[in-house]
Order: sequence, then C-alpha cells, then structure tokens
Amino acid sequence: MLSNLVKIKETFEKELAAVKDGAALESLRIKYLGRKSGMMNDVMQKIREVPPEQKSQYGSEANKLKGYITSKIDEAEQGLGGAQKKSADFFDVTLPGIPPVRGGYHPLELTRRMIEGIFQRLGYTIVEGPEAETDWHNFEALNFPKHHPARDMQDTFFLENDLVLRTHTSPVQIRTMEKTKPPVRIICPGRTFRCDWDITHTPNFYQVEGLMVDAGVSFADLKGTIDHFCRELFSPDTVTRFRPSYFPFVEPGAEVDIRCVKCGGKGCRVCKQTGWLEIMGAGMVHVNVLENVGYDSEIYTGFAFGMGIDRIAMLKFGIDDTRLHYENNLRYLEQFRGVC
Amino acid sequence: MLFNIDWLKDYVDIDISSEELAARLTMIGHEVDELKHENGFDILDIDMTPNRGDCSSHIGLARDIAVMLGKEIKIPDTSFKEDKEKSSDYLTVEIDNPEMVHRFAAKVILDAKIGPTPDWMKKRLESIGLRSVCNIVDITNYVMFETGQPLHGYDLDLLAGKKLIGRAAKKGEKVTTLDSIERKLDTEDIVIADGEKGVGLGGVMGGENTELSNSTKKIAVEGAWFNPVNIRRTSKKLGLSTDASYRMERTLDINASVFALERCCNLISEIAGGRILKEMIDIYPNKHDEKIISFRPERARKLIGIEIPDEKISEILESLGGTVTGAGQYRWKVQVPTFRNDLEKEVDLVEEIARFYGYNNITPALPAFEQGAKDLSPGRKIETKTQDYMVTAGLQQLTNFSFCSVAQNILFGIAESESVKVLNPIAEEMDYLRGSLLPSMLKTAALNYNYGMTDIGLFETGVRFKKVQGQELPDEKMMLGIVLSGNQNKLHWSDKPRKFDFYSLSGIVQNMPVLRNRKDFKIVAAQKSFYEEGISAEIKAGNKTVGHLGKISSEAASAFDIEFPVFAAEIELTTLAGIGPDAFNFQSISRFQSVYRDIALIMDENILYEDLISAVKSLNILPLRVIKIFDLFKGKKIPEGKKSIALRLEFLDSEKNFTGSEINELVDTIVDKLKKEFSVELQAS
Ligand SMILES: [Zn+2]
Repeated sequence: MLSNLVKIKETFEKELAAVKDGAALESLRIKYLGRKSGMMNDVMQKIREVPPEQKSQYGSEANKLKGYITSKIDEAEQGLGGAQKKSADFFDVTLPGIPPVRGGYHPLELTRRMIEGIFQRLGYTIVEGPEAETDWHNFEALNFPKHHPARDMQDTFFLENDLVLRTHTSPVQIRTMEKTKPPVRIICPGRTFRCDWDITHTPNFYQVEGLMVDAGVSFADLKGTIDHFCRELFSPDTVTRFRPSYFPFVEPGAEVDIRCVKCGGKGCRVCKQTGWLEIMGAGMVHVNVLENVGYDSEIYTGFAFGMGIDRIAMLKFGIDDTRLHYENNLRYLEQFRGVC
Repeated sequence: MLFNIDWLKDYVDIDISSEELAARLTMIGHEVDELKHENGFDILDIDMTPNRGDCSSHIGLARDIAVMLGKEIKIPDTSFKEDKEKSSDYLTVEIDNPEMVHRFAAKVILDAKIGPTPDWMKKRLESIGLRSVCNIVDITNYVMFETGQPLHGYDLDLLAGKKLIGRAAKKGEKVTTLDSIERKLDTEDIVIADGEKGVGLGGVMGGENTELSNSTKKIAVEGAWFNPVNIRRTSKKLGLSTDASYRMERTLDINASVFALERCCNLISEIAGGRILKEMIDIYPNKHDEKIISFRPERARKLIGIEIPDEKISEILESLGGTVTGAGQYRWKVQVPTFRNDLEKEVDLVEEIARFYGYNNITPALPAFEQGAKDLSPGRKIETKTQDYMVTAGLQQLTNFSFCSVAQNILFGIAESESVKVLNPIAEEMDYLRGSLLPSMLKTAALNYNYGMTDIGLFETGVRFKKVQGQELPDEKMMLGIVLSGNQNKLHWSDKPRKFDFYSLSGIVQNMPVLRNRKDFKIVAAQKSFYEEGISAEIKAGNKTVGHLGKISSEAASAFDIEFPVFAAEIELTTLAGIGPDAFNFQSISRFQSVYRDIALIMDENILYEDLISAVKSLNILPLRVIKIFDLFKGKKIPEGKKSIALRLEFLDSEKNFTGSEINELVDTIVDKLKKEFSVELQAS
C-alpha cells in the first residue's frame, strides 16, 4: 500500500514538469486533488483496506503526500520557482517583505520594565498603591509637617475631603511598612502628579521609589545598591556622585548624579555643561518615618531612593522634551518598536 | 537664591577660585545652579533646600564655607555711638500674643538723614537683585541679606500712642501693605499695630500708613521672631511671598533680632548719621531653651557605614558651632547654636558629619540580598501580560494624562456625582480625574488622524477613578482601553488592506490570555449610550460585567471632532485579576487523522451564531473537535430575511480513524438538531 503512494508521487512529479499553461495545471489539480474523483481522495478512502497495524503510518504518509502535491501545484500557479518557472523570469528579492502584525510598547513602559527587572533580580518585591492619597500617607507620615516649607517642594493637586493626588510613590512605602514587619525590600513604581507643565515637567509622570529596611543597613549600602543599579541600567562604566540634599523623609539625604551619558563628563547641552546628570534622590529613612509606622529605629535602619521614569527614559533614549511622552503621536511612539 | 562672593569674603577668608567654591558648595549640599560674572561680581545662584533657613543670608552661608575650608568666621562690626536718651523714652513695645510673637526688639534713631545709599551698598544689593530705595530701607534690606533677620523701619511720628504691639489680627481687620493692596485678615495672621491701628503684616510686609519718607525725623526699627506656622499660613492665604516671609517661614535664630538691630544701627550711624538712642527694647516673653542633643558617635559610624575616629567627629561638630561634652564616652551631649534650628535629633548631627566627611568618601557596599527574583503583584502581572498580548496583536501602547472634563466622564457613563474633582486643575478640561480611558484615547486617535496617521490600533492600561460614598479614597481600577480605526494591516504590495471593524475588535478581546480560557466568558449584546445602536456589547465573566466593546456612536465621536469610524473597548483588569484565571489543564492529543466536513445552512438572519454553536455543543459529540464559521452571506440566491452560514466541522477521535459513513452519520445528527431548533435548511453545494 505504501509503495502505491511512492508511485503516485513519481507520476505527479513527471506530469507537473510537463505542464506548460494554467489550463494544464488546473486539470492536474482536478486529477489529483478533485473533491470527488481526485486521486488523493481515492487514496484516503483506501485507508479502510490497510491492515490495522499499518493504518497510522499509511494515514500520515498519505497526508504528507497530499500536502506535497497541494503545495507544488500552488507554487506552480504563482510561478515562484515551481515547475512553471522559466529561467528568464525575474525574481526581485529586494521587494519589502510582509511585516508581521506587531504593535509597540510606550517608551515609559519599556523603561519601567528595565528598572523593575534590575531590582527584581536584587530580590526586591514590586508593590503598588493608590494614586489618590490621604494627606497622612503622602506628606505627614513622610515627615512633611502641615505648615512646613518643604511642602512647597512639590506642587500638589488637591482633591476634595483633604485628599491629594500623590506627588511621589513614597506613600506606598508607608502603606507597606504599616502592614509588614522588617526586613523590607520593595520598589514602588507608578504614576505621580505635580501641578507643573513645561519642557521638563508634565502634570502626571512616573516614579520608582525603592526602600530597604533591615537591622544595620547603612548609607554605604545605599551607595552600593545605587551604583549597581546605574551600572546595570546605563553601562558597566557608569560613574555616580552623591551630594547632600534634603528630602524630609530621609536623613542623611542625598541627590545622585551620574557622569553625563552624552559627553562623558566634558560638558554639553544635556548636562548643562556640568558633566553630571541628576537622576535620583536618596537617603537613609528618617527616624521619624520609621517611628510613624511603628518600627524600632534603634534596631532597624534603612535607605530609600526615588527616580523619575520619564527622566530616565529621556536619558536612555536621548529625548529632549518630556511632553512627547503624553502627546502620543504615533510618529514618536512607533520609533520605539525596535527597542529591546 | 543669589549670593555675592565678594560680600561672602567679608565674613570668611575664601582662598579658592569662584569656580572651585561653586563646585565644593554643591558637594556639601548647597547646589549651585549657576555661577554668574556680572558687573565685576561673581554671583552664586544656589538652590537652597528648605531645611536650611539659616543659610538664606551671607553670614549663614559663610559659616558653612568656613567649616568646609577650615577657616574662622568673621562677625561684622556692630558698634555705634549711643545717644544719652533711651529708645524706651520714645517707643513702647508690647507682645499681646506670645504664641505668635516670641521676641520683639526695637531701636529708635533720631535725626538720621534720609537720602541716597552709598555706591558700595547699592551695588551689592543690585548684584543680588534688589533695587535701591533710600539709605534707611536699603540698610534694613542689607542687614536682612547679611544676617537673615528681616527688619522694618517706621516713621515714629505716625505711630499712634508711640507704640508697637505684636498681636493676632482681629477677624476682618484690614491692613494696607507697602504695595498699596488692602489685605483682609483673620485671627491666624500676625499684625504689628500702634495704639490705634494695624501698621504692618508681621513677618510678611510693612504697612503703607507708617512708611518712611524724606520728611521722617524719628525712625523706629523693629526686628522680631514670629511663629513660622502663622507666617506661612498668611503668606499662602494672601499669595504674598516676600524676602521676609521666606526667611520667617524657615525659622529664624531667636537671637538674631538683637544682633541684626545692632548691626543696622552701626550702618545707620555710619551712613545716615543721626542719634542712635541707647538701650535695646527687647521683649522676650517666650524664652527658647538651649538645645542639647544626646549623641552617640558609634551610631553615626554605623548609620553612615564608615570608620571615623571620635576626634574627627567632635572636630566637625565644634566647627559647626556646637559644644561637645562627654567626649570619650559612649554618649555625648552636644549643645547646638541657636542659628541651627534644623538640628534637633541625633540623626541631624549624623548628617552633618556625613556632609563634611564627604558623601563621596564613603565606600559603597552592596548589601547581601535574598536569592531569587521576586514575582510581580497579581495586578501588575495581569497588566504586563495584557500589554504583551496587545503588542503581539499589533496595537500601539499609549500613555495619556489622568485628567479629563466632567462632560467627557458623563459622555462615557460616569455621572458627575461619581466623578472625582481636582480642586486646582492645571488646565481647562482637566478639572476631573478620568472615569474611563476612552475619552483621552479618542483624543489621541483624533490627533493622529489629523496628522494623516489614519490607521490607528491603540491600547492603554491605566487607572480610572470613581467616587464611592462612604469610602475614604476614590475607587481606582486598572483598565485596558482599545481604540481601532482605519486599516488593520499595513499597506503592502502583495496584499489588500483590511479595515478594522467590530470583529477585529471582538477577536482581539476574545483571544486575550486572561479571557480566552475562561469557561464563563461571554460577549453579549448590550446597548451603551456611547456606542452605535446595535453595535454595542458587554463582556461578561460569569455574572460579572468586566467591560464593554462597540462602535463609537457618531454623537460621542463628534465630541472629539471624529468623523471616521472608531471601534473601542474598555476592560477592568483589576476585576479580572481579582477573580483570577480558570485553571489550565493539558489535554492529551490524538495521533489519528482529522476529517473535515463543510456544511452550508440557510436560516433566519436574526439567529445568533452563539446559539447555533451552543445547540451543536449540547449534542456532546466527542469526536467533533472544532466547529467554526468560515463564510456568511445574504442576498443573491438567499431569500429576504435569511442568511447563509457555512460551517467547517473537524472530527477527530483519539482511538481510530473514521469511515465516511461514520462521519456522515455525525453530520446528519448535527444538521437534524439545527433543523429542529432553528428551522435551518441545508444548502445544496
Ligand atoms: Zn554632558
């Protein structure tokens, strides 16, 4: 029975080679693939006569042959390298191929995933929290007293009932520590809001806040962690610089710069000729914050850091206007489809 | 904040270049935004952090520079020749509210010559952005920028009862400030009053009614310590931030008022002459305690993560003006100077040590971390999985603002009472939080269409907000929005374009990983106000509605100036994450051959495809692996009110291959069932 299939294949190949025009090809198709009297139909019907132990092999060989014949006839029809193809036919390999249907990620999503990935590998858990927040979680618990000038550092959107749109993702720190005992290692990515709109600010943007609290955590640990992160995110030879700064919820507080990714420190427009790019705020979690969430600040210490995803995206991709992220012009967004 | 380096040199010996000074200040926490060279001066523009009110003066910054450079601070001359008469013979000072006014000091100067300001002072003031007024006003300003203490001068002859009183404003009291604006006050504001009326807004701005003029003969100069909380409240409420209020808000040195007044008198006697009456009027009912901080050098070493000897620590603290006792012991006592109001706790001193030790001298140490990467939260997991799928499905991700107008919310079915209002919106039509992603996504569609990008396949994941009665925070749900218009595939030479339609949309939804394996997932016809009549459906997971899809109605579209067909969907990812996916179980695969049969059926056009399929499935024919529609048409040979549906049936058994008659029997069973239930007719092939 199987040898019969081989014969059919040989005959088909000979006949196909002899085909000169479309009509001949069509009659060849009917001869082999016709629905009622086609040769392959016959072959399929014959399966009943095959001994049981060969049924499976016969079935699969018959299917293979049917597929082969179908594709050969299709090929010939398109004149693409089939039996019909004359050596004089011109075939243009440079015509654009058919692109598979594929969309794209927003550059902020790409950046967020890079950052999340680095900290996940360091054993940090990703935590989220609400975007509309209480004054306690967004300010008070983070050591921003009600009438303190530090509140001016962040232009706040106010909602009814004493709520605010969170100005940073730091409230997620508080929410996490309120219900978890140390050690804590989390990062909190998410949308944040400030009442500001120009070439470097948009009324909402994304932040990643990180927090590690454990017995004996030091500023040196903070430096090591941030150095590691910057080298993974930018390049292995990234140089960081820590400067004293002030954020109410950390002390000692710091601002972290990296050596300019554009000019390598010589000074350029991107780094405003300083050779350095500010990329995040950081510091040791303030004792007031630890006490606000009921941690014993004598035993536990920790560090926190926060960076803008939008800013990191600008540095990574060389974007000069942060408003582009929210305009959603496809001419802009589609450029990032090749980023991996 | 601007600082004149020449001026700083009056108080500290700066033996490095201005460039180096700028760089080193940045590294001790005084970030220099710019070093300017103007009119022969080097000017530092420093981004002063709000905790360092003490550095909002030249002496204040010079103190930090002195520590940084290891130099001594030079305090300016405060001496002057005193007149025989006493200030208190001409002026009475009272504090009516010691909670608001902790200290109130004043001096009286007679017969000073009010006139122009000497060049050197004028130039220094101009170099930091101040305009010269007259010598006395300029001197009080100069002293404020030198010492940080705001001072104010009054025409003593205009003070009723020859009195200055520091008190709370009365409800509704009015004071006209120097900028000629009448300010209406309440009981939380601090007023400086004479015997009859308000003559100044304490700590914010002086009053117009007692302003110094060329005819002024007797001057009263006042310096006070006001409660920073009141000052800030007043300044915020009135939208009036002044050099004085800026400094007052940041908490002054309680002792600065007396020192600044003495310095002021020194300059007046030098520049404007006159008689400086003797004795300081100094009302100080609310005494501030000396601040002593308990401090452990070991704690500093541990927290910073450095080895630094006790001697070095104590040296830094002393150079900052602190007095250390108990050195050599585990616990020290450090008395901090009154000008460092920011130093309250042990950790504040730790920061000072780290700051002058140098953050960059701390050796980094990567802490030991738990092994293994951490998984995402269920919410973020479903969000990223959905994004991945949407990208594979050919859609582009968007990120829109969270803001919208209330009209846009209402248009998409979110009532005004459910909408969350922003009290201080940044722009029109951005005064509410979005209750649906669709309005902003449609705006994006319109924007791109107007640029000529008419093939639009967009998705966004983001939070929508709804107000819920009795709940502290608004309800936030992570949503997926989809907007489709134009061609589904890109223009290509070998292919014809296919337009997006309802079925491209429902196809994307049906194949979402979070939905396709759910047994209880269904799309059911349901009319939404913003979808076109009939082309509107809800997405169900069991009896929960988890989203909707349809064709945007022309009325809704016109709100975004859209005149092209748009299909949209919105799905609650938070809800899907909450109910979780159906468990997935592998099914063994058959090693036999599939047999296909096609049947074409004519039936009433309003028969739902889903009902048809359910009827076939109810037969429970196990070998029927797949049943799928592959053609649908009306008209032509089909009678009015009818449609023809072509179905492909795939039969497969795990035990054997089928014979033709076996298959025929199964097909007959199926057709019979459909004939009985829906009166379908088999169409001749
Ligand atoms: Zn640069």
